[in-house]
Amino acid sequence: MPEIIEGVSPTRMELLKLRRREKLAEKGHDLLREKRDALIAEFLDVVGEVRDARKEAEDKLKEAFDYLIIAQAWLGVEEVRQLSLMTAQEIPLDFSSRSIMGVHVPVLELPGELARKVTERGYGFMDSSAAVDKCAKSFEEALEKIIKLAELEEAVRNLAGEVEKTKRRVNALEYVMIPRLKTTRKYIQMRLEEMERENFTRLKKIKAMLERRER
Amino acid sequence: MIAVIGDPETATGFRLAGVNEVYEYSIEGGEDVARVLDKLAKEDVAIVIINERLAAEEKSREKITEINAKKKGVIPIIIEVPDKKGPMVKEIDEIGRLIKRAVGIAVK
Repeated sequence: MPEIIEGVSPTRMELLKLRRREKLAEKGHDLLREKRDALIAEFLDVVGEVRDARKEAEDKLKEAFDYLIIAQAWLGVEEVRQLSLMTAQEIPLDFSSRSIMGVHVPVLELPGELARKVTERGYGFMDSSAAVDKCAKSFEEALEKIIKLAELEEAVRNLAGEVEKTKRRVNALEYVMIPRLKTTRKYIQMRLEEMERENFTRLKKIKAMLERRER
Repeated sequence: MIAVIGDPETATGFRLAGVNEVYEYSIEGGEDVARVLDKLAKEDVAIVIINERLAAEEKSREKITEINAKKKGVIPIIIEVPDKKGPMVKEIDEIGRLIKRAVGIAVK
């Protein structure tokens, strides 16, 4: 039996107030439950995507590292490093956020193509080789996949947090708040009825006493 | 903006892909990684790509947790990627743990 909310006096005013609160709590509980279910459905969707995306990104990255090793074997580690320093450019990245049931998830967008043409990479043809081109290309592809993955993983993280929070609220309402309100309401109802009965007998008794005195 | 924190190979590779905010580290640099993460968190960096092995370092791990807990909005997103040795075998699968906590059951 859940405990009674403390500090309520058994009056009609309190009873009305409690009834209102109970109704509100139940409505809130229903809404939150729906929110929770919708969030979980969304969450599971994204989770499926995340697993695929991670696998894809990791495979791509592995491939890119293989090409890097080949390039390093052709030109030497230091040479590839030098070339890589020449290619640096700012990658434009737009980010905004989208809201799924009040949860902010990031949306990352590459306004341009990440993959560049050989001539746009910034290093010269003379001191580089095809292996470097291949390596750069596969790293560009890997980066694109990683950006996608970052977006999804962040979404999962945020959704999970929100699911947890919503679940906790639903449970708090369902197992603590609502039962407490119910028992308190019942308690007040009982007290009021009891008081009414007391009053009733008291009146009867007084009436009988008065009648006896008149005689 | 995209930033990369990684070992020399990762750094070279992503520089070739056109990232210019690249920090090169070897595994021993736990303290430094945490400091760089802090610096990046203050700047307008959208994605921080970090090697799993560097992120698994105790100090970096603490810092990442701290940044994730503190951030408002959606950035920075810290994403861990494997290095040239391939994906690490993780003691705890972060996504799996999240699923378990959110749904209550493990979903494959």
